[in-house]
Amino acid sequence: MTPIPPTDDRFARGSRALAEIDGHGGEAVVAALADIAPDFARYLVEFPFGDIYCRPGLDLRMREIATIAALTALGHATPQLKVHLRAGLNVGLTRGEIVEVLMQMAVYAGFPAALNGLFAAKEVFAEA
Amino acid sequence: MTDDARYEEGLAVRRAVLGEAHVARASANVTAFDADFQRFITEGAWGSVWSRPGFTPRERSIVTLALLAALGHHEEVALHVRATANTGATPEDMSEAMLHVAVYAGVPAANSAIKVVKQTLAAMAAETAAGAATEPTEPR
Repeated sequence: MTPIPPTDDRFARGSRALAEIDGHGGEAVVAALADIAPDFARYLVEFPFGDIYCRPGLDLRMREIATIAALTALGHATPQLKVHLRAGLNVGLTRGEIVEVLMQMAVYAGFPAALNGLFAAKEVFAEA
Repeated sequence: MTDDARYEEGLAVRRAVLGEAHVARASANVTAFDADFQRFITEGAWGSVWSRPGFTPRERSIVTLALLAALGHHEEVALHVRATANTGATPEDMSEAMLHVAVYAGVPAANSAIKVVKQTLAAMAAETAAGAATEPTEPR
């Protein structure tokens, strides 16, 4: 795969990706960090979104499947999982596809991790 | 119970569960770096928890093995499989416990712990066989 050429504008590229993926959710996280750790907010936009999510090779639906799976398996990242459950719906995953991913995590991370993920999804689906 | 009494009680329980030889080896390896830590686990884990009456040693073995497997601490899994020779937990007990690990901590956690349990049981059996072959027979 061709590497992405270096650019001085990782932040701008990341911000565009974040808006496309997350709608206003990502913006709100960046704004919430502004008074305590503005540099961290910049890293958050530049690295995951400016560098990783912008890579060719996986479309955003597949990237959100991977992210939802990872956050569910970690088990200690429910707030971030909810952000990415909303993002998954936003980039075109169906509720059924998301539930399949969460169920599969019972095999690899245990039933409690999958259950917590499913209940997080239930809350997110209820908002939409 | 005073701290010293708890330490003595812990040492006795630790010897009874892990075996004289293991505790002697561990004690010989203690340096100033981990002396306080060794005292802490002897008093805390062995003197306060393992010495309680509420569970049998067999039950404590099963619970401990399930937790260590779930956490992925395989060296300690092997250590506690060896301890089952003293606690009375059976291979069937461990096999049942690993099913719970699979459900609550995931199949990979159980799968890799099962490998360690089986290897350790095989090593123990080989050592027993070798010991039986070299030990002089008692005169009848």
